[in-house]
Amino acid sequence: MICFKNTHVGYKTSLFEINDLCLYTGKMYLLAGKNGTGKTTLLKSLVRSIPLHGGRIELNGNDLHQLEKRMLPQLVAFVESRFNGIPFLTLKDYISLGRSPHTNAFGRLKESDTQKTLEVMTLLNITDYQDKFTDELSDGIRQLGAIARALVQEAPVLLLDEPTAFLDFENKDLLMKTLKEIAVSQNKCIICSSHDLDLSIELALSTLAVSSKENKLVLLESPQNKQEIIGLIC
Amino acid sequence: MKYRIHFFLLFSAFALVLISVLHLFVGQIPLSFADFSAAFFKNSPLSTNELLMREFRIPRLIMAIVGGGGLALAGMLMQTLFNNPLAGPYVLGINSGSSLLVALSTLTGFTFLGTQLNIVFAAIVGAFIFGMIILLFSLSVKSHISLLLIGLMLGSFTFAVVSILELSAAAEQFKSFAVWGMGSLQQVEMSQVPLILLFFLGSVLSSFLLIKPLNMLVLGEDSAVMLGLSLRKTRILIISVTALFTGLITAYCGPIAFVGLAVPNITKLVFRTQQHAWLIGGNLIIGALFLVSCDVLIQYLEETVHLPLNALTSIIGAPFVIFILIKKVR
Repeated sequence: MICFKNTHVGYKTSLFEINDLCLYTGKMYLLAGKNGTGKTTLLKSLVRSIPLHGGRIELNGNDLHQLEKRMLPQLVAFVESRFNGIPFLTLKDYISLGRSPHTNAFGRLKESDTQKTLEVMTLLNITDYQDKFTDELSDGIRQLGAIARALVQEAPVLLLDEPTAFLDFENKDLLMKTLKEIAVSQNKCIICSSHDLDLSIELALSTLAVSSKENKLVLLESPQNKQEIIGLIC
Repeated sequence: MKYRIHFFLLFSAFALVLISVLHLFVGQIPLSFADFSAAFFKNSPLSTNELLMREFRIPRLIMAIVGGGGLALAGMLMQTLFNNPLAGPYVLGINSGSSLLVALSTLTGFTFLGTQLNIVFAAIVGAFIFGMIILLFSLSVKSHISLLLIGLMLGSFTFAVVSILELSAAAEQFKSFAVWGMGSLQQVEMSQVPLILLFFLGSVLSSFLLIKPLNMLVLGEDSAVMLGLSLRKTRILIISVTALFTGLITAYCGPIAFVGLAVPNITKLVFRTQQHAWLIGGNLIIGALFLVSCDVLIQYLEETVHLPLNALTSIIGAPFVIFILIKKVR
């Protein structure tokens, strides 16, 4: 459970504030907002890449920014908007690196680590590509790989920064549906920023809208149509 | 996948053994296997040939292996740290740091420790200081090429300072420094070998301790940090190990160009993996193989033309850099 307490999101200046808001596991939230309103900044604040401008964020009751540094990867996983692939790095090796927070000082993979990697690859249907190099995969498979890497981290909170931005319609659809299923089946709190409001209505996602008029983050539990969200963010 | 790596690892190890044997017996004066075993096991006074084997051929071979393997590993460490296939101890000016401090101490007569340790110490400290300078620059420079240019500038700067020092130095010191600057594997005596091996093996072991951070760095610094990597600690550790390798080798052999840049690229192309446990082993063996082969060539051609080591590795290495620029960086 993530709770925001008078949180001011922003690096040098406060971009927007979140008064009193809690997000729960087992749910997927769509983060909507115009370009430059601070969606990525919010996600990066949640992985502590960027400090908060004010207030605090609580993770299961503990102040996120007081947590021990090495605990964080076991609680929050982050998927960047685009993974370009790395030469000579196989998909399996890439996903296995997501186990790093759980492995010993040499990064040695135990039986349970390889098991988890295989399990997630099976879930996302990418086992066929495990020995392919990541720079030789299609954008869709590569993005699934990036999500797989975050999933094997086994963190209860999963953040995705516009994961569908570079995908075609079919892949977009598949990806968002899979994510929603994972939120429920693996009891995760998934926050996914996207401009794809249609898909969010179709999948009946709760929406976090950055209102650029009031500079506030507003939670719409079940928006009925696109206009409702657009009205808020514009 | 694994079979490919095993095959090439065994194959190159086998090639290294063969070329090493060739290296021991290729020189102008033909030596026998009896001389070789005598060099190790005979206590009574040695014949000229046996002495030649013990004091020249064997240390020279060991330096070729240490130099090749060590520089290749140092190059691999830097390439992974900076996520840049063009990085290497020579092009980034880490060698220059060693040269500068060695020049300061040999040409001015100023010593830190007094003994033969002095040059090693100066070279390692110099390499570490320049490594930290490059690291600081890398924080504000985004382009692969810019970092390379900064390395070149460090080199030019060092060259200028060294020239000034050379002019004011005594003739004998000047000559010994000039010879050192050409790079050679022949300046080491048997009595120095244990210390060199100790430093070398220590650095190799330290590299193995860095396997996990290195593998994580392949993902890029941001992702690695989000997976729990302590960036500051990792950077300093990698620079320290690089400085140990580079300083040690530069102290005893002088600057050797491009081995640290070329070999890690070749190793990656051959092994086709990003797992550093394999890459460390591969770089050690292929680096050693490369430098021993170069030295065999130098000895073989000795009667016709005198090839300084640094000149030979540059002749092979410089075109290779251009090749990588065209193929990978553009």
